[in-house]
Amino acid sequence: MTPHTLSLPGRVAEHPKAEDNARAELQPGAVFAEHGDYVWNALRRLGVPSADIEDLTHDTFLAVFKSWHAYDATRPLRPWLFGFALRIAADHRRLARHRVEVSRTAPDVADQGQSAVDQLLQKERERLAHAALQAVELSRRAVFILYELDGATLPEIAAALAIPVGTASSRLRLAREDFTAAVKRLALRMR
Amino acid sequence: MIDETPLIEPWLRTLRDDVQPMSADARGRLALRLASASVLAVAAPALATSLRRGFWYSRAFTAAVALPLGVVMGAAGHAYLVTSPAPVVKSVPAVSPPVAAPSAQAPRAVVEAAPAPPALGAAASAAPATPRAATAPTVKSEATPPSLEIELSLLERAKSKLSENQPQATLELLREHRARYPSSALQQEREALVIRALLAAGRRAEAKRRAQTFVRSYPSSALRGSVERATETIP
Repeated sequence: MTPHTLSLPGRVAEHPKAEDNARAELQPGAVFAEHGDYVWNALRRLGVPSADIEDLTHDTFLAVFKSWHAYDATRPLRPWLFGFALRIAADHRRLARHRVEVSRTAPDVADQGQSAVDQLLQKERERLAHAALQAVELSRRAVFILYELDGATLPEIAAALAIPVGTASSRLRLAREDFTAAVKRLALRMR
Repeated sequence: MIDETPLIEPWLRTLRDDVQPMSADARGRLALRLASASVLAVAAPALATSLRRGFWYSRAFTAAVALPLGVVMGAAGHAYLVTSPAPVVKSVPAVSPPVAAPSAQAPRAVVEAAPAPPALGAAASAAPATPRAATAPTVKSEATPPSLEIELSLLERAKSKLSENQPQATLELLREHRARYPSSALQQEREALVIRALLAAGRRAEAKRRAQTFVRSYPSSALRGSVERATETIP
């Protein structure tokens, strides 16, 4: 058996009895190998300071592994992982000494054949977009990230975060308002 | 209501595109720490078993982690990684021997390299062998990360000595681990075991002191709770 043959939930749903097989095939190590980057970036988008992302990625996967038996293979995996990342990030933030960090390590944009100015502009765009995202309240931001950036559906989001669909929907609306306001504010400042 | 979508869409696009892969170092450290969760029974027992015999020692794990681990363990590997556009060839040195006819071991090596999942970023490209790999057939042993297994098995032996109620032997093994891997990614895990062994040896005051140091050094550690619980009754 190849351990990394992670059954994609979308496909699983098409096969009766595939759920058990999926659970058996889903290996923790393979999930880390395949979705480690996803969790890492989810924590980053949730506003975890870059110095803490590694530790929190560890804690997130540990929590995921402990709840392994609870994974519903008919549902997409990533929103489920995101739910753990959100809890870990929220717990982390509750400790007063942790501050939300807006600036962050610059992404490695070398080797893309861009001019230096373009790269700087791109970095600045990313910094501002990240700042706008951080302006959205955390529980709303979670729904917003899943919907707008990850492309999850509202029912998927509701299931992953254990909230009613109506709540997910209203958080998304409020998040869009927050985000839009932040974008306008930042755009104004740039003039 | 005004539709604000055109306004925010470019910003969303920027955010969607801004996905950073974790560094190879971080990936190696995390894989090691997560693999060790079973050794220290941080994970649920049933899962611990699957962690032990499952993916972590499998070929896909090797492909995914062998190189990042090499980076953690050695500066030379790091320099190679940073400077080489195709660093992963180093982790699969036996893939294509220089001789035309494949040797006995070669097909096995190919099988090992092949299952690398596609979503692994740099490490994933381990699968397609390049001719350059053939220039270093002598380092075949690198196809598996022996240091990972040694390091983990050392901790595992320490833990089993503890469960056999031989705290002295546990502490000796942990001292050895510390000497061999002073800047190990598993320092938290090692220290938590030391504290348990000190308790088992009746050296409670010492255990308490180290537990306090542990909490100061690793305030957000996943092991913090168990360390605090173990030593909370000590005055």
